[in-house]
Amino acid sequence: MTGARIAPTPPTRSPLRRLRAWWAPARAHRTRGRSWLSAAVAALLVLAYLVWWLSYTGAHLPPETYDRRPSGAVAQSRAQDFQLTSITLVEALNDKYDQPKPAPANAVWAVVRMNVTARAAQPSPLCVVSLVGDREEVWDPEFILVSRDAASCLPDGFEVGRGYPTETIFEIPRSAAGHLAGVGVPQYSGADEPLLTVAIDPSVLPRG
Amino acid sequence: MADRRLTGWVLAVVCIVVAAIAVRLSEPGENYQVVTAPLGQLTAYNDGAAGADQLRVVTDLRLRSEQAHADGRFVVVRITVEAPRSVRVHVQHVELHSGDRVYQPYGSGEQVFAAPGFRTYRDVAFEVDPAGLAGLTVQAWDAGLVTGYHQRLEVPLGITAANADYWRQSGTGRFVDLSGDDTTEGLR
Repeated sequence: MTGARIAPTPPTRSPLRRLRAWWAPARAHRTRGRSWLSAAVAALLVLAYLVWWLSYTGAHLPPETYDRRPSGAVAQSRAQDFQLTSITLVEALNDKYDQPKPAPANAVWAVVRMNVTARAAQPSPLCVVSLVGDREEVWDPEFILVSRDAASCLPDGFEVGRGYPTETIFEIPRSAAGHLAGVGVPQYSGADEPLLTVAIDPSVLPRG
Repeated sequence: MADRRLTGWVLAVVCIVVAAIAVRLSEPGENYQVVTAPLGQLTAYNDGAAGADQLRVVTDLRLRSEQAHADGRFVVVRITVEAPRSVRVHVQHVELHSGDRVYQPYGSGEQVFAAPGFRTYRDVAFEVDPAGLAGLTVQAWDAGLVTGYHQRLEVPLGITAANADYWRQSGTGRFVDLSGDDTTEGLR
């Protein structure tokens, strides 16, 4: 008796097994891929933490508080000593090409001159200070509108322990001319900011 | 072993998809307070004041010495911020809204910053669909990497369905020269 022969049914594979078969050739690269993935996850975690930290501190830092110093006092910041020499108010400044640069309408230039001394050797000294009004308004240095020959920080090849004259320009409203408190020296540590003071002539000179 | 790893990966992908859907579904509504100013007037904004004026509708402009022709129209407004007290006032982002459409500034340089005692203004241009001039509204705010509840300035430009055709026609062939810089002056 001969009966019809039934063709054997090919074994069926579950979707999970098929996915595993597809995944298998990549096994050789898996270790390297995992290392890259770990590095990327670590980098993203660091980035997320930095974004959160910057946002949180930016939103929660209390306003700057100042430690007012008498005229002629020295303030330390990082590896430099700052001594305020003068603050002069002018209508217009001669730039390094000897062209007059008038201050914007209803504003004047405040020329802050200091003596800066390095206490230690350093690759890139920072001399950023701020001008503070008597209502604790803060003005940042103006580096773009006017460019002068005078050094704004320590020169190349500076000597430790030797004082160098510097000049920093600020743009302030004319109404603040008689209401300046001094120059704030940043501490980068959360400590009170030393406020260097000097006798300021509130009259505005025509040219500086 | 391999099955377990694969299951781990599948689970990870499922978690990411679920989290993405959850974030999408739970997006909060507006997290800002709208302060509205009529065109040409300043209004209280953050610790100072802000506003928009000098509306211009043109087809051609020069921005930082680069000339451009709009397929539609350029809408140009001047954004002004004032800092009369002891703190600075910023506008970091400016948009132009028309119904559901949001136009971003043409070119870069939309930030306006006023130091204490100063007023600062800057022209900001947008390239818009000329058929959608009616109802255009400027929005400006101080946006950081992470922005919490904040104030957002809104200035309706006053272009309505009734006068949109006038603005469209009068802007044809008009040209405006924009420096791209901001201008600062002391407050009296």
